[in-house]
Amino acid sequence: MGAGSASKQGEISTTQTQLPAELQGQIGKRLREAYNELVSEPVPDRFVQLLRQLKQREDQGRGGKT
Amino acid sequence: MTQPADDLQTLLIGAVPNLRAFANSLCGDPTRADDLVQDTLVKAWTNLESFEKGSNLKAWLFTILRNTYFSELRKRRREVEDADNALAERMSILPDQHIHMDLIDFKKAFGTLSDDQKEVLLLVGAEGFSYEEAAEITGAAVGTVKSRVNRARVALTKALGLESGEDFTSNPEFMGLVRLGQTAVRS
Repeated sequence: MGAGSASKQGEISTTQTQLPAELQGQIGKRLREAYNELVSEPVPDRFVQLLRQLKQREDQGRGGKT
Repeated sequence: MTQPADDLQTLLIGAVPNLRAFANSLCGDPTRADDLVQDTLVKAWTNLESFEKGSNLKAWLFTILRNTYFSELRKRRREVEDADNALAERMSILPDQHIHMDLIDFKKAFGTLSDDQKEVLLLVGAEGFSYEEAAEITGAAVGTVKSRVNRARVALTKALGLESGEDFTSNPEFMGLVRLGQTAVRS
């Protein structure tokens, strides 16, 4: 990790600032905190209903054939 | 044989929390985010034959969602600016009152990123997709994804005021700026 890992894509990394690992870790941690907060929101009922409807429509379509 | 629709139903419902989080972070409008998720579920259900068995269902769903989002965005060019402004708002207005100040700052900083940067940072940094998977989802080259992720991280760091100058001394571009600054001071 670190020193050698980015050297393979010279054309990409040479013109860029590569963040120190510690900062990358901090950014990643905050990003996941913010994101996981959204992930942990309960699933609204409309999505359960929607999938039930899709399934029903499919079952009816299949029932018509047999 | 017919496909096990019960399982598919369960799998799709299981993916909803992550799809919603991704859509919300990307578009910044909860109502629109849920519409995006709904479109994604319907498209996934009706185009199941185009899903390669054994490949990553979640990656496939994320691909559908981001493609839907970006094609809508192209159609509604004029609304782009409004959407961008809403992004920062959505990321900063959350019902939870226990959020640490750091997190609020972070959400504001995140809102300043470009859509391209947000997308890859969410996929790689938040969802844990590999660079290769993120490249496949976004239709970009792996090198492009890596470079976008890196630029997004740098932009976030700057927006948060986290950078510590000494860490950038190995960067020729930065040192160039420093030298420019020194010249300016001297003259």
